[in-house]
Amino acid sequence: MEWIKIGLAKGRLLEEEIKLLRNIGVDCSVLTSKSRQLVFEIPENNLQVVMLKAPDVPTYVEHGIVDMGIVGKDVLLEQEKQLYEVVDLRLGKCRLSVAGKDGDTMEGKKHLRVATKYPNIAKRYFAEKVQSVEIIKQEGSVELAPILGLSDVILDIVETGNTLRANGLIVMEDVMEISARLVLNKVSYKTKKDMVRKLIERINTEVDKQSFNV
Amino acid sequence: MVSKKVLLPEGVQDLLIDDCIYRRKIENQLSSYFMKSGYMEVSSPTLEYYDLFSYEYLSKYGDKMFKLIDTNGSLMVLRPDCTIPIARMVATKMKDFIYPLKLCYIQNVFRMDQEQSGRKREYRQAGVELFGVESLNADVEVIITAIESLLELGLKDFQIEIGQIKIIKHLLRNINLPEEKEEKILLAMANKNLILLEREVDALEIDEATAIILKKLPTLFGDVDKVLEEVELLPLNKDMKAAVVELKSVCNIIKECGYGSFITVDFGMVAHLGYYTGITFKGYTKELGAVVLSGGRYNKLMETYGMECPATGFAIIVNKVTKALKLQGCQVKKAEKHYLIVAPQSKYKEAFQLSAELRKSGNIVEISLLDKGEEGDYCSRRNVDEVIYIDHEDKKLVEAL
Repeated sequence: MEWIKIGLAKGRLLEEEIKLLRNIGVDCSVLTSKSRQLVFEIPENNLQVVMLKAPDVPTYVEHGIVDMGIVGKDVLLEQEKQLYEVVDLRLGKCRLSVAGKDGDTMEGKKHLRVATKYPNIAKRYFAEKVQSVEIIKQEGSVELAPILGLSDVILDIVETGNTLRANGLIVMEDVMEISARLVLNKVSYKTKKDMVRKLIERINTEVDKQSFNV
Repeated sequence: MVSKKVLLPEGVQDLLIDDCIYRRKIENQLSSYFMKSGYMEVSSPTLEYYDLFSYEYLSKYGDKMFKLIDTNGSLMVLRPDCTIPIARMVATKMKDFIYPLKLCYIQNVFRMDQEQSGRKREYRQAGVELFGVESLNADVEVIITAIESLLELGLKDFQIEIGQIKIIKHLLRNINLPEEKEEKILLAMANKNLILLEREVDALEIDEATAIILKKLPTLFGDVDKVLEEVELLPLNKDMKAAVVELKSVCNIIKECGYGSFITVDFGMVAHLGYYTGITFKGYTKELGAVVLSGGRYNKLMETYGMECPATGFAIIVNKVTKALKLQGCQVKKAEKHYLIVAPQSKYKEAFQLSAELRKSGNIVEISLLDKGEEGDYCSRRNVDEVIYIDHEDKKLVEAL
């Protein structure tokens, strides 16, 4: 039997990703079990689901280890891998923003220190603004950096803004809107065209239905 | 810190015995097939001047080249590509050769790719370049050569996907966009990002027909007949229609040669617009999620080196095709017999004569360098087929293993 392998980003997106699969008729009961398993088979749909950490999804797709993946646009922009990006799933919507301490400003800063999980996006964004920066790569809890004086500002994703507020930070500038995308390996889109296309069509219909409801 | 004495730089690798046997076999098959088709081998140096490459090429790939400084301060690079140095070679040294000029090569290329991305920084390309033919006969010839090379290697179920870059070129020439906009649209097309493409195209002030074609092109891929049918429904102008006819004719001739099952088309193949000028193609297999060969027509490149000459060609990525073959379970069969001759020192001459005789008929023959009785382990680990013992009376005892 020919499988379609799909990589899902664990973390904030996972629940919505599973909901999407369920809505297009995939039996997701195996996925919701609280096991530590990372690879699941759903033979009824010829689907093999692999749970990955979000930044690993583009890598697995690029190397063709999985045929497709679901991952946030933030991760795609940061990595710029060679992939087909075919559907905006409109899930996990949030903004990529620059934030700093309430009362602070970026104006007139000759050398801005930026803490972020997205060094490449930050580098490009500030280069476009012709602002010279020092990027400080973070792995998590980026909000700490300005509070403790490691950086002047942060560039991070903002969903509700609650974490920022709780830490006395405010959004200074919005960089862009972010949502989850369906990405495809460049070769398997061709070699498994019919199967992949059918799946994309079902996903597209579902995405349209959902955004109509909203 | 761990000593660099024992480590390898990222993206390069040692090939141990079996890897070398495999690689040599593949390369021998390829080069012998290229030669049988009339291609002549050339080899360019590993080092080239940075300035060899055009501004456009450098702005895209300049930071991916390995650079060295010459003693006089000039910037040099490790060969990042095989075609450009060969184009230089042809334009500067082979102008007065007889054309069509058919060249082939097997060389390493070096590219400084993203670190820790699992990509190689040194790999081998085997390919052909065909200079001096404007007509589609050359496009047909190189694609068929590509198909037959892969078949020669024993690769099965592969696909050669053919594109035609002229259509997008005509479109872009007609609407004359600012560079930045053009890049965005091409990137969206190349990534089959239909959402972004639609948004970008709708924001342009262009005629409806162009907008329709731009949005539709990346969806036009797959089965040759089906896609060509769809393409013919588009509001194409005269030039674009001619470009489609060209692609169609190429596909038809390939089909007539019996290779129709290997080809598909993709009108969304729009990468390397500054380099390619016509029919382009890529090859891949189901098992391996990567391109094993790519090529196409590059009629403008030779102008950079002061010679007007149409050209086309392709390169097989040897590591990738090796991987694809292994995934399909294709193995190297050992054709020869492996002998070990065990003889006392006094009979070395006899052992030597026997080895020479056996080698003549194509066998692998070794004279044991171990003391008699110690050869057992060696034979089993090296897969020796037969041991020949010569004793003091010159009697031979053959033991098959």
